[in-house]
Formats: sequence, structure tokens, C-alpha cells
Amino acid sequence: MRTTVSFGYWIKRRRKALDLTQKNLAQQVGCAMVTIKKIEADERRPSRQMAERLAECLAIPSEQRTLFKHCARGELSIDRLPFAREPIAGSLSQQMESSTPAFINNNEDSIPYEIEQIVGHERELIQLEDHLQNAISGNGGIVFVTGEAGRGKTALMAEFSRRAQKRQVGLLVAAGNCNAYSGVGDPFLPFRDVMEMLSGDVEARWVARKITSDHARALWDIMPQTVQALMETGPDLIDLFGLGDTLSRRVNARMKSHSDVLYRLQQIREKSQSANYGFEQRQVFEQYTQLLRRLAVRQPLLLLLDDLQWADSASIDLLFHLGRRLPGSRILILGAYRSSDVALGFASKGSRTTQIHPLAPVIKEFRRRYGDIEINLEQLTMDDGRDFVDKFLNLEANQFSNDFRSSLFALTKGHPLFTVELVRSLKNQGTLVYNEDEEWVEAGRLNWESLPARVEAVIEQRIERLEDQELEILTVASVEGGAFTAQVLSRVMNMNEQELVHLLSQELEGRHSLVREREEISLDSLRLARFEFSHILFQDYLYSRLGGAERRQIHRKVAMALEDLYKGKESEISIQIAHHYILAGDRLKSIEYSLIAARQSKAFHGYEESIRHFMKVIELVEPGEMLAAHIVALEEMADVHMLLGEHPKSIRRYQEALDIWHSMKDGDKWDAVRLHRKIIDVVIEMILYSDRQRFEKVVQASIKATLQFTEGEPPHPELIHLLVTLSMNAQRLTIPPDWDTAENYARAAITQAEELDLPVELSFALDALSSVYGGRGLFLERVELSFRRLALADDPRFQDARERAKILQQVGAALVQVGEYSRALPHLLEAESLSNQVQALVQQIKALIELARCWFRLDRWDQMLEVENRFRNLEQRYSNFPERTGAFGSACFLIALSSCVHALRGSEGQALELSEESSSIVSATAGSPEDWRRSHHY
Amino acid sequence: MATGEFAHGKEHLEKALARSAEWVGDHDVYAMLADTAVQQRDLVALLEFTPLAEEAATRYNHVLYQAISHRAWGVTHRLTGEFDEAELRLKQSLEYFQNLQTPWQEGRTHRELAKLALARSDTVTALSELSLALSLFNKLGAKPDIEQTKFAIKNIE
Repeated sequence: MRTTVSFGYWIKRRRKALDLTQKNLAQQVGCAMVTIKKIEADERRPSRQMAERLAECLAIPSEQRTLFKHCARGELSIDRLPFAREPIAGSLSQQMESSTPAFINNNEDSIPYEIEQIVGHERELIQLEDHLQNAISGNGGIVFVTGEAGRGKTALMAEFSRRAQKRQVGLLVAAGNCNAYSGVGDPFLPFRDVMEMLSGDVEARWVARKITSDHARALWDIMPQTVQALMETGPDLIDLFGLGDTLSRRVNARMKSHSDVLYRLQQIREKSQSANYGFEQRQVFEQYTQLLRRLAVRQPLLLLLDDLQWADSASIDLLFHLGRRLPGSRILILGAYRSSDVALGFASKGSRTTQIHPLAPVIKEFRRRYGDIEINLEQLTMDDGRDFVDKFLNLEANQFSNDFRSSLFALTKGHPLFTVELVRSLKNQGTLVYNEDEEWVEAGRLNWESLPARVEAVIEQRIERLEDQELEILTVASVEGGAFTAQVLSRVMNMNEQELVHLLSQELEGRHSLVREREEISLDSLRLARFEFSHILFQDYLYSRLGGAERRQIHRKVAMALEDLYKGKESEISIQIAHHYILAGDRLKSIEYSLIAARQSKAFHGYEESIRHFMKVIELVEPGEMLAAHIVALEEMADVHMLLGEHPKSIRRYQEALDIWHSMKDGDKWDAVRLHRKIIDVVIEMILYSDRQRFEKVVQASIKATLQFTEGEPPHPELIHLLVTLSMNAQRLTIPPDWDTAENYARAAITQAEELDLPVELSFALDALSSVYGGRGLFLERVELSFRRLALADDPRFQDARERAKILQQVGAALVQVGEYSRALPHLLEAESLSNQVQALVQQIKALIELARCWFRLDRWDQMLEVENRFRNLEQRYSNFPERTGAFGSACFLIALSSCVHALRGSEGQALELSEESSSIVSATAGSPEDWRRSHHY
Repeated sequence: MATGEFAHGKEHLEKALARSAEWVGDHDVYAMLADTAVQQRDLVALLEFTPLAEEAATRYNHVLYQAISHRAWGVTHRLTGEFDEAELRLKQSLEYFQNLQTPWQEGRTHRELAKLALARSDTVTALSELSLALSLFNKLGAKPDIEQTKFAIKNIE
């Protein structure tokens, strides 16, 4: 039972749940503290505008915003919104140790923070500061630093981050990097880094001197809020973004005493995992966005995303989603990318055409939305370049002549990496020396002609100074990638691990500054030491020196070392292993790991990446070999296309799989049946009438084939699925529906499912029969059948939460049909809530449609309009809603009901508008009026 | 004789009846036809659809539609001058709507009872029924119904 509370009290609880003081909230809303006091004391109501700001600052979920605004204005009771009973954040903060993490206490002075040298770029830093101030005042946004390799993008971002944290108390900075090698195939890589940092995974970064002690403390402090927000706003992100076990361990380590937080966290993870298949990528984006917005209510957020030219498409899509939701938040995203990589796009394999880089349209859209958002380091003027040279030289006491400065500038044009490396080289050669006052001076007259004319040449000189063993280490490292693992190198080179780490740390990092320690990864009992090149150009250079055969050999060894290190957990780094085997030219291993990588990406909802890996498998398989693996890859790729709503592509892949199946001598016929059945299912799922018509012949061919394959077959699970599909075909694709055929197939499916005792299949079969009952007007029988299905869902073997949501919705709908509105409501509300939890968007919409019908029939017009609000919020949240939702066609009914309510209230304009919207949906989805079904006419 | 919007709606609903039920049953269609006929005072349509609506509602034990059918019969009887039968049906309808707690439907039935009272020249009952209807419409914010009811009250007063 719901407690009746006042609006003011509700606000107060919500504020406390977010761990905000009245002063904090007032600052964020942009009003006086007394105003918040008065609102909480119910002495005044917020204006419409202030209600909007309050909704933002109190992180009211988007689907509840409209309702909240009505409540704020006193038009609706606040009882309709969930009440923050427990200030969880407060209690979580209180339950967790808040003191400085032990690793900082113990080592604070022993490992100083590594500050990258940056000089110049003052103008750019000011520009960035303006963007940040805008974000802090609630106008969140996005800005990019662009330029070629070595232009100082990373250094500029690091310096800006350092200054911003110093200047802006409470600013929270989290960073993520894309990877040149695994990047495009590793979903959400930079955003996983960001989430790790925000959830307190800071020790390794601090030890590796990636972040300062203050930065580590700030991230450590935010952890309770992140955990709370994850549990409440982003439960599916916990495992999807790889936080799972380590997050649980960190929470456990920080708990002061016994608490149920860990238990709750575990429960949330289990629930999410059980439901975590097939849900929409967009829902992942929305959870991520909500989580960041919520954290930014308390502290402004600065996200640094480096090397976006290598970002995977899932990350680019998430960036696009997030980037459009920044206004009204206190989040600034600062991204960096190589402009030429993005401008040039990718060369398509096997053709001369070039594909547009996926980041390019995203940046275009942000430019359209936010205006000038790029800081191009390539467009620095001559003055900027000279200024950089001077400032860089003046970092240390010197007596350099003006000639020297001018000549240095003339050679490097102020290119940061070139300048830095050239000066380093001159010092090492003894061309630049200290005078007696410990100031740098030229040792004599320099022969500028003899100096390298390009940055690559400076790099070459530096590499050439390495000892043989050091060079070999770095060469192997360059094959592993920009970041590499000491233990992998040790295995590849058959070298003592301790000796290797020593060389990396003391010589290559300490003396040569060519690498730096990045992080330490725990892998069961192993601790893997990860290093990275101090600049990607060093790695590029070393890798480019290798001949083809040598590269292949080392890639194979790296792949084998990774397999060995990750034994039993290979799937975790299948993307990297696949990458090395591909470059090693080991086709069979490449196929094996690309298949695993494709499945791994699919599990991460990186559908584009998944398709890319499947494509790799298909490219690698040679005609006539590994037919079974080829079929599996094509079928699973088709399933992913289906998840993306790409129906025609999905059908094409299933057909290709069937072609290969036909070329097999001993192919399992149930594989062919399944592939044909899936083709029919895809067409049934098509939303547009015209599409369904286009594939009519394909459907007929598949039906014919499956009937031939299965004639006289005894009961089989796949046969049950086929019978259900054939029943649905007779109902949905046949015009007018052939109810006799549909019923026969449904009954045959039921008989087989009962005989084989398969509860889930039985539920599918009953669903098909229930649909037949509906067509025949046997509504009371359908109620009975739906309750039978509901009972089946209680069977312990019935693990399918989405199917349960569907059953609940259908029980409700069946009851609505016979006018049992009050009995229907609890089932429909549960269906809506469960669908929301398991991200079953279609079921959620269908539940909303039936709820609308219920409330309308019961003359509860406000509730009906509230349902429409929830529908609109879903529509708004998912930008490709119409194309992706099977329930879209049925939404015309909900909109028509809303139109009726507005008409009954005398709002004729609105009623007419909605009526037209409803009609346009019918026209788009139902074909010509001759082909309409009863519900369309109704 | 159905005219205007009703004729257009009726045409669609008749087409609907020619299609399979699925999620819209005969009872849904007939209830809508009978109820629209009530609003149009279309005796021909009332005589055609009310028995069908009642039969379908009873078949599915659909209480809301049974209530709508009772009201449709009430209006039919009033239009044919059978006031006692009309009162019986309208009161049955009102009882059903009250049990279902459907205020707009209740309000509409009160208004029909007022019309019946007026047909019997009983302005006191008519005013009482109209004020009950007005109170229900006010709660819902049903503007057109409020205006119509106020107009009816004004006419009587």
C-alpha cells in the first residue's frame, strides 16, 4: 500500500536519497536556498520551468518527467511517483569506509604522479575551460581536440584535466582510451574504462601514475554513489561493462560492518543476467546515460575519450546517444581523434571504394547541434608554433640563442613530438649541454643540415640507441600493440619475467622514456603487468620495421602466450587472440577465435562488432571446408541482423546458410528445418505490410521445404517450433487468416510439447492456439488458456523472464477482452514492470496498450493519459522506435484512445492531431483498407 | 438513418465485422454501434444493433457492454414511447455502471434518465438527474458533456 506524502516531503526524500544538501540543490537548480526550503515545507510550488530543472537535478527518470511536472504544479498527486523511502546513497556512504584508500596512505610519497610536460596551447586551454564552465552551469556538452599523431592531443587533454581538477573543487574526471588493434572489435572499450574509474577501480591507475592522489581519492569517494546508481539505474551495466566480480570485491572490502548491500548487488546481477539476452543496445545506452546524469547531479563530470579514431561502433553509437542527452546536465565530454583518419574513412576490402568513418556523421551531428566544437591542433599559426618552441625550451634554465630557437622552429614547425624528441636527442648526443650555472646551452655550432628532417627520423635515432635485448623486447611489444603485457613478452621471448619487468621499468621507462607502466591486471593468482609505449609512433615505427614473415611469427607467439595466460578464460580476450591469429595467418585458429569474439561482442550488445567478427569467419573459411562452422557463423550473424531489425539482411544470411547446408552430404536436416523456420519467423516479425508482401515467395518456399523435411517425423523440439511458426503464418501472413490450418498446427504443437514434456515449447504452442481462439471470438476460452500458460511459467524449468512478461500481458489482454478490467489491471501492471526490468520493449508497449484500454473503459481518463505519457517516453527514449518495435502497429489503438479522451474533454485540436497520427500508423503498417484487419477498422 | 460521422464509423465497423475477431470481438463492435446509435438518437440503428449488442455482451458475460446495451434499450424504448420499459432498462444500466465505477457512463445514463423524465414532463426528476450527471462530468473534466448538461438544466429552469 502506498503512503500518501506531500510534494515537499517527496522532494526532501529524493534530495536526501541523492545525498544533496538544500544548498547543493539550490545551486544546481539555480534558485535561492530559501526557495528549496519553502518547496520542501510545502509553502510554495515550483514554476513549470523550475520543475523542469528540479526533475533534471533530482535525476527523475525520463519516463517519469512529465508526471513529475504535473505533480510539481499540483495537477496530479505525487503518490503516482515512486517514493524514495530509504536514502540509499546516504546509507551506502555511511556503510562504506570513506577514508583515503589504504594504497594511497601507504605509498603516497613513494610514487609521484607523472605530469606530462605541456607547454603552449594556452588559447586551447582557455577554450576548453569555457566549455567546462558551461557544462558546470548545467549546459553539458561535447568538444573534440583533433590533429595528427604527435600533435599533443593527449598531452593537452591531460593538462586540461589537471588544471580543471585543481581549479574546480568537486570536479570528477574519468577517462577512456580506444585501442588501435582490438579497438574496432571490442565493444564499449573506452566507456568500460570510464565506468571502472567511476566505480572506484583506481589503485592500478594510481600505481601506474596515471592519476594523482587527489584524483584517486575523488574517484574513491564517488564509489558509493556509483554503486547505488548502478543498482538503481544501470543494473545491466554491472556485468556488461565487466565490473561484476571486482566491484563486489571492492564493495565488500569497503563495508564497515555486515550489510545487505552485497547481497542486493548479487541479486541485481543475477536478475540482470537471467534477463540479459536480446535486449536492445539502445537500452544499454540509456542506462549508461542515466547513470552519468545522475552522478553529475552531485558532482560535475569531465569525461576524456582519447584516440576516438579507433573506437568500436558500439562506443560511437553510445557517444552519439550520450552526446545528444548532455544539455541540462553537468557533463562535459572531451574527445580526441586523428582528423585525417576520420576524414579518410576505411578502405573497403576487395574494392576501391572507401567507407565513411563511423565517427564522421556523429561529429557532423554534434556540430549541427552544438556549433563549433572542434579544437584543431593542425591549424595552429606560425606564431603558435614558435611560441610552443620557446615555451618548451624555457621549461628549464637555458641560454639558448635566438638563432638556435629559430632554427629549431624552422625544422620542426613547432610540431610538439618532433620538437620534444629532437631536443632530447640533441641533449643525449651532447650537442646541448649544461654550462657552469647549470643552464642549457649549445655546445658549439650546430649543423642543422645533418639533423633528421622528420619526426620519424628522430624516432629512428632513439630506437637505434637501444641495446639489442631492449630492442628485441620492444619489437615483440610492438606486435602485441600500443599496450602490452610483460608476461606475454616473457613467454614469447622465453625470458625471465622478473628480469624483463626490470628492463621495462628501469631501462626502457626510466632511462629511455619509451614506455610507461599502465596497470596491473589480476587474473586468478596471476598479476599481469601492463605497459604502453609512451607514444604510439614508437610502436608504429618498431612494428613497421618487421618483415612479413617475422611479424606473422611473433603474432602467433603472442596469440599462444595469451591463450596460455588466459587458459579457461580465453573468451575474455578472444578479440585480441583472434586479431593475433589473423595476422599470424593461422586460418583455423582465426576462425575459432573470431567465432568466440563474435559471440562475446553479441553478449556485450556490440552487434556491429559481432557482425564484423562473423564476417571475418566467413571470409576465412575456404569454399567447401568447415561447412558446419560456416553455417553456424551465417545463422548466428543472421540472428544478430534480426536483433538490429535488419530483416532482409537476416533472411539473406539464413538463405546463404541453407545453400551451404545443401552442399553438405551429411547435413543434419533439423538444421535446415530451423533455418527455414527462422526465415518465416523473420517475415512474420516484419512490421510493414509492403515488406511482408515482398517476401511472400520466400515464405512459401520455406514452408514447402520444411513440410517435406518433416513429413512423418516423430515429435521433436524443433518440430514444435516449426508447427508454431506455421500456425502463426496461417494467422498473420495469410489474408484472410486461415484459422482452421492455424488451429491444426497449434494443436499438433501442443500434443508434441506435452508428449516431450517441454514447458517452454508448450507455452509457445498454447500461445498460437490462444491467438486462434482470439480470431474465432472464443474469448472466454482464451482466458482459460492464458491462465494455463501462467501456471506453466511457474515451472522451475521455465527460466524465460521475457516469456513470462508476455504471458502476463496476454492474461491481462484476455481479461480486458471479456470486460474483466479490475482483474486485468494487476496482471498488466506486473507485465509492464517485468517487461521494463527485462528490457522487453515490445511486451512493455503491448502492456501499455492494454492498460490504456482498461483505464479508458473504466473512465479513468487521467490514468489513461498517464499511460500515453509512459508510451511517449519510451518512444522518445528510443530514437529508432518505429522501425524496431513489433508493437508499433498496435500503438495506433492507444493513440486513438488518447484522442477520444481529449475529445471528451473538449480539446478538439489535440484530439484531431492524435486521430491523424493514429490513422497514419494504420496506413503505414496495415496496407490498403481492403487488407485491414478487424482491429484497424475498429 | 445513420448520417455524417456516424455513417462513416458505421461503415468501418460493418467492415470490421466481416473480418476475424482476434483482439476485437463482435461484442466490442456491436457495443460501439449501439452506443453510437444512442448518441445519434438513431432509432433504426438502435433497433438493428441493440439486440445484437446485448446478445454478444451476454455471451461473453461482459458487464460493461451489458450496461451499454441496457442503456441502448432504455433509449430505444423512450423513443418508441415505452416509458416504463425505458425506466427499467436505464436503471439497470445505472446499477451496472455504478458497480463498475465508471463515472462518465453513469453521468450519461443519468442524462438519459433526465430525458425520460422530461418525456414524462417530470422536470423535478429531470433536474435532479441532470445535476447528478453534471457533478460526475465535472469530476472528469468532460467539457462538452458539462456544457450540454448545463444547457439542458438552463432550458428546464
